[in-house]
Amino acid sequence: MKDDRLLSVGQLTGLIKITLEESFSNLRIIGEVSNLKVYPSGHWYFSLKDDDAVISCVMWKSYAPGVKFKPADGMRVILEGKLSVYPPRGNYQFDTRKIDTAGEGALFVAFERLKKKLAAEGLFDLDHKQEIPKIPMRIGIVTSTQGAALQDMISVAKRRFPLIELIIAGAQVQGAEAPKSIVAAIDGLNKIVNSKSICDVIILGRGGGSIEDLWAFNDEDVARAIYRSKIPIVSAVGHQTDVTIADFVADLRAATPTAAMELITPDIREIAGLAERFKETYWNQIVSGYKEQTDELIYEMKALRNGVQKFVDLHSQQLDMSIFRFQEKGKGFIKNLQSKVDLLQNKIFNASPEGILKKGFVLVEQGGRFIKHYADLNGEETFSIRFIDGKIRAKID
Amino acid sequence: MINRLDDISNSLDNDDLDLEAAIALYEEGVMLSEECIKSLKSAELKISALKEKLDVLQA
Repeated sequence: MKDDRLLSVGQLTGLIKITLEESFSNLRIIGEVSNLKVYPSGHWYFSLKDDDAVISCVMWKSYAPGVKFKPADGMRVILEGKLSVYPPRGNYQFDTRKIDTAGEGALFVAFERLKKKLAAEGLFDLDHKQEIPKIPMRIGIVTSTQGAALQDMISVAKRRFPLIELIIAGAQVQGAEAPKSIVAAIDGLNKIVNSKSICDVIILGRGGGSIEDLWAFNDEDVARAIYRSKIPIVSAVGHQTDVTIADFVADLRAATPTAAMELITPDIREIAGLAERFKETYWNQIVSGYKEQTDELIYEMKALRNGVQKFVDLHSQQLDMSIFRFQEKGKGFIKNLQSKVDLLQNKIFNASPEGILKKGFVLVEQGGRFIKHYADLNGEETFSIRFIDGKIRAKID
Repeated sequence: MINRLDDISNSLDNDDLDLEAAIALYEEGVMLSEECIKSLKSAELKISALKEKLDVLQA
């Protein structure tokens, strides 16, 4: 018996496929993105939902480059495409050709939602902010190698502080692939080679553009990469008025890439000035700043023995300068003087009558004077012989 | 070098140093400032791409 109504699963699905795909071939639908997953193959899978229903969506890799921003879960978008049926699974999905935000309001809502979430997680906490080095010698830059922003930053660095090294980690800064590319660049600059970091600070930036152009800097993965960076990051996205999630997470926000470079590089003229004035400025500072101590030193000097005192007084002006500068040498100098005086005094003592007697010589005295020669001695009279410890009277017999 | 000079300058300006320490820093600073003036005169901005930099460092 022939049953006209009998169809195989494949036949039915084939019919459904033709019916649905022909009827729903050119659609625009609005809804909220959820469960967005970008597969390693480059295809995107997600759902679009509203209060009443949900539909599975796919966006093939070949269409992804046309998307200006990477949508985030919760964002309201408008999709263009068609319905397609996948027979092996028996399901239908929306085959997306184009994604647009459902107006700037939708982006704003997504921005606010992510901001709130990350704030609650502590990604914006001030405690977590790292200090920007005062004089960075190696600056990492995450930006497009094609953009004017990079050239602007290079010329500022050249003018302000040509002593540094710029390490450029090129990244895509707009489009759906941008977040991944920016994360890779930040992580790359954070690499440790031979237990040394590659740079001292990172500028993350791009020039101005539309809100969609800047959207990569409102990406959650980018925010987390900034947060985990061990190297301080200065964000510099768009113009003064553009504020992104990256700005909130970064350790410092600069209004523009040029401003960022200005902010973190010292002016070479200031450094040169410091170097050129160093010798004189700090010499004067030490001399005036340590007046009390240097005065004390002079006081100590004055308390030394008279002989030295006189010498010091006589030469104190010359000494002052040496002592200010070389306290220890100054002291040594005085000690040396002191021993010279001691030596001199010993010599004088040795030359005195006491000195001579002490050595074991005797003095012969007659008639109140010392007798130096035998011929001068009057043999008829008594004379005295003086020892160190006493005197005797004697006469020649 | 420049960082060290800056540290020394800050230290001399702000820290409570005894005379000997101040003199020692001063002498180091004078030496560094002379080196610094020399290298500033010949300074030339270095630019490298991260990839090349990593290659060089890892070589």
